[in-house]
Amino acid sequence: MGKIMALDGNAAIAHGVMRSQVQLVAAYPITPQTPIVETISSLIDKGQYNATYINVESEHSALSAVVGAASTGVRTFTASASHGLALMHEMTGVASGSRLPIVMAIVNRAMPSPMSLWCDHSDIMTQRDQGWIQLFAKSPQEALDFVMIAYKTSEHEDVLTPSMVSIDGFFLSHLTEPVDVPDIEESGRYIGPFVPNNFTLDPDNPYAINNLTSPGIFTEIKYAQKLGMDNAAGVLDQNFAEFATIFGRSYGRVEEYETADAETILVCMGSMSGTALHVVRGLRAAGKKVGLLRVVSFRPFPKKLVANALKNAKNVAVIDRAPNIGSFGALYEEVLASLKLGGNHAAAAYSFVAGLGGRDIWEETIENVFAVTEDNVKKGIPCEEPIWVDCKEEGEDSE
Amino acid sequence: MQKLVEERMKKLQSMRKLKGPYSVKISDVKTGTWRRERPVIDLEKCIKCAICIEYCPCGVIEKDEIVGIDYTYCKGCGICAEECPKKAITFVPESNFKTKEDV
Amino acid sequence: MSRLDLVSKGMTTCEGCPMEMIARAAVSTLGKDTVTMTPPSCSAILTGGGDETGWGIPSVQTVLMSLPAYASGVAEALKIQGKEHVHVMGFAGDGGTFDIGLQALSGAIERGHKAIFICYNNEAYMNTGNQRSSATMQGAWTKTTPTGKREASKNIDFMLLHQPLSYQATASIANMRDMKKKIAKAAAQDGPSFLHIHAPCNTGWKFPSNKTVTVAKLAVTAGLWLQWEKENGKVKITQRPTDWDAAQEYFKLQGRFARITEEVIDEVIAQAKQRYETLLKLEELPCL
Repeated sequence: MGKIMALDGNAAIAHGVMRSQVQLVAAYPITPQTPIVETISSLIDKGQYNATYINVESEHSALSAVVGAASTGVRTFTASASHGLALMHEMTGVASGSRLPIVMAIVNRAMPSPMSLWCDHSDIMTQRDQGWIQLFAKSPQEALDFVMIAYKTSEHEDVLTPSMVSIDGFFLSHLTEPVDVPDIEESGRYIGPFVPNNFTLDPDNPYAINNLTSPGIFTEIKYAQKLGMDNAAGVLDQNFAEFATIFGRSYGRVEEYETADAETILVCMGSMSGTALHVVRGLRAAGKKVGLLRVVSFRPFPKKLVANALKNAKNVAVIDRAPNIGSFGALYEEVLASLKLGGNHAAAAYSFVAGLGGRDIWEETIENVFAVTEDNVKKGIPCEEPIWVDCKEEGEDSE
Repeated sequence: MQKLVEERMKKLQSMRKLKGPYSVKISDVKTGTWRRERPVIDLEKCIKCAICIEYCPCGVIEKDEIVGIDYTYCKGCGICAEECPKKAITFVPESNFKTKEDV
Repeated sequence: MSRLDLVSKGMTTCEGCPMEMIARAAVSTLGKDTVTMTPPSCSAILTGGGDETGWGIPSVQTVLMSLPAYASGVAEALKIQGKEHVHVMGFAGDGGTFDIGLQALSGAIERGHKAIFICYNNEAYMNTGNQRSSATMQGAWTKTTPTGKREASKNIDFMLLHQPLSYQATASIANMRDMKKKIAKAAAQDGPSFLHIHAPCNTGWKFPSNKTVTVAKLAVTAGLWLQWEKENGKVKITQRPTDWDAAQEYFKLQGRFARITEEVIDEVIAQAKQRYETLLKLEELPCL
C-alpha cells in the first residue's frame, strides 16, 4: 500500500527514481530540474537511498557518464531541460543507437533564444528524431508512475530503447499535489533488479562497443533500432495494464475524452490538457459537440490510436507548445499523418501554437482555439499557416 | 593465426547476438603486404636483449629460443633495425623473397 | 607465435606508429582485467570498425568531448558491480585531452574516480589529417598552421599539478621501460592517474618511420620533453635533459619544422629551459 505525500513534479520524479531502484545517477543542475537532483542527493546522503550520484561538470558529461555506466551494466538516470538537453544532444543519439535502457526526465523549458526559464516543449521536440521513447506527463502522479513504467519498458529485451519522461517546467515541476507514492518493497517487486540483457563491459566477455560502422551494415543496425521503438508501443500497453492491476492507476498511450461523437476534437500534450479538459467539459455542457485527445506517448507516435480517435471528427485542432518555425507544429504534422492513415480525408485540420516561453495556457486560450477553428471552418479557410493564437497584436500591452 | 583472433572466433560462435553497434571479431589485416623491404635478424650478432621487441609497434617480434619476426604483419617500419644496439637487423628488399609469409 | 597479445598485430595504424607502441605497453602492463575507452582519434583505429576490433579487452568508442565522463560512469558502475579490480583506461590523444576533452578530464579528476587517463601526444589532430591542437609545438607546420604555429604548446602537466591526481607522470616512447613502470604505478592507485606520453608521429611530423624512437629520444635529451612524475604530492624528475643543443637535430629531422626560423627555435628552446627551471624548483618542494 502506497503512502500519500504532497509532492511537486520534480520531487515525484525523484521518488520515482528511487522506487525504480536506479543504481547510478549523473546529473547537472538546470532550472527547473534542480529539485530533482537535489532530492535524489538528499535521499542518498540521508542513507534512505543506496545509489551512486556523480556530480558531473556539464550535461554532456552527465549523459556521457550515464552511457558509460549503462554500457557497463547498471540501471541509470539523468535529468535536464532546455540548454542542458541541447548540450547533451550529441549523446542522446549515442544512447539510443547503443540500445541502452536509460531513463531521463525532461523538465520542459523553452530553447533559446530568446532566453527563458519557463515552459514550452521546444526542448524535448529537438530530440524527437533521436530515437528515445517520449512520454508527456500531465500531473506529478503521472510523473512518478511514468518513471517506473519507463524503466520496465526501456529494459524490455524487445525494446532496449531509452526513455524521456517529460513534465512541464514550473506548471508541473513546481506544482504540489497529493501523490500516491508506492511502497518500496512493492515497487521493487514491480521493477525487479537490473539485468543487463544487452551490452556489458566485462573483461570475461570482451568486445568493442560503438566503434565505427561501415555503410554496409549501418542501415540494418538502425532498422533494428526502429523495430525496438516500434515494439515499445505494445510493451507500453502491457506495462500500463500491469501497472493498473498492481497500483490501481490506469494509463494509455493516448487519453480520450468524448471523442466518439465529437465534431471538433482538440489534440494536445502535457499540462495544458488539464485546462483543455475543463474547457471541453464546459463546452459540452453548453451543447457543443467537442472532444479532447491527449497524446501521452509522443514517441513512438500512437498513429493508429490517434487515427481511431479522430476517425469521425469533422474538425481537428492541434496545439503545439513549440514554435516549429518554418513549418507546421510537430504534433500537428504527426496528427495529419495519422488522419491520412485512418482514412479520414475529409476532416479540416488546424495547427495552433500557444504557451511559448512559459506563457500560461488559460481557459480563454483553449476557448479561442475552438472559436478560431469554428470560424475558419465556417468560412472555408484551410490551414495555410500555424495560428499563433496567444500572440499579442502589435500595440498591445506586454503584461 | 593470432591466438587472439582464434579465441574471439570461438567466442563469437558461442555468444548470443546483441543489439546495436558492436564488434567481437578481431581485426586481422595482413599488414605484411605493406612492406617493400623486410627486417632480417642476423642471429650471430643478436644478443637477445629484446630492445627490438620493446619498440616494435606491431608486436611482431618474439623471443623464444631465438628472436623471430612475424612477417604476416610486419609493416617494415625500420624501428627495430634503428634501435638494435648490435646492428644485428638489416633491411632486405621484398623482391628477394618468394611470398610475404616466408619466415 | 605463442604469446597472447591483447592487441591485434594486424591493425591499419601507420607503420612505426608510436600510439600503437603505447597501447601495447599499456595493455601488457595492465592485463586482461582492463576496460578501455577511445575517442574518435588515431586510437579509434585500434577499436576498429565494421564488425572488427583490435582490442583483446572490452572497449568503447566514446565521443571526443567526454571520454573522461564515460570513464567516470564506467568506474562507478564497476564499483557497484563489485569489480573494482578492473582497470579503467582512457586512451585519448592530445586533442581530446588538451582541448575538447579538458573540461571532462578536469571534472573526472576533481571527483576522484579510479581511472587511468593516458594521453598519447602526437601534437596535432592527426586522425583527421594533421590539424593543430593546443599541444602542437610552436613553429610546427600543420594543415591549419601552414606558416608554423604561433603559440607555445599548452602546458597541461603544470595545469594539472593542482588537481587531486593520485598519480601523475610524463613518459615517452623513448624509454619504454620507464613508461611501463609509470603505467604500473598508475594501476596501483585508488583514484585518478594521468599519464602524458610523447608520441612522435612520423606521418604527421614528416620524418622516416625508422626514426620514430630517435626523434623521441632527442626530445628527451634536448629537454623539449620533460620526464617526471608526481606521487604523494612530491614531484620527481625521472630523466634529466643532457644536451640542449640536441634540439637542433630534433628540428632538422622533422619535415614539419622545415620552415622554422632561428628566432622561433630560440624561443622554443628558451621556453623549454624555463619549464625545466620551474620543474627543478617544484622538485625541491616537499609537497605540492
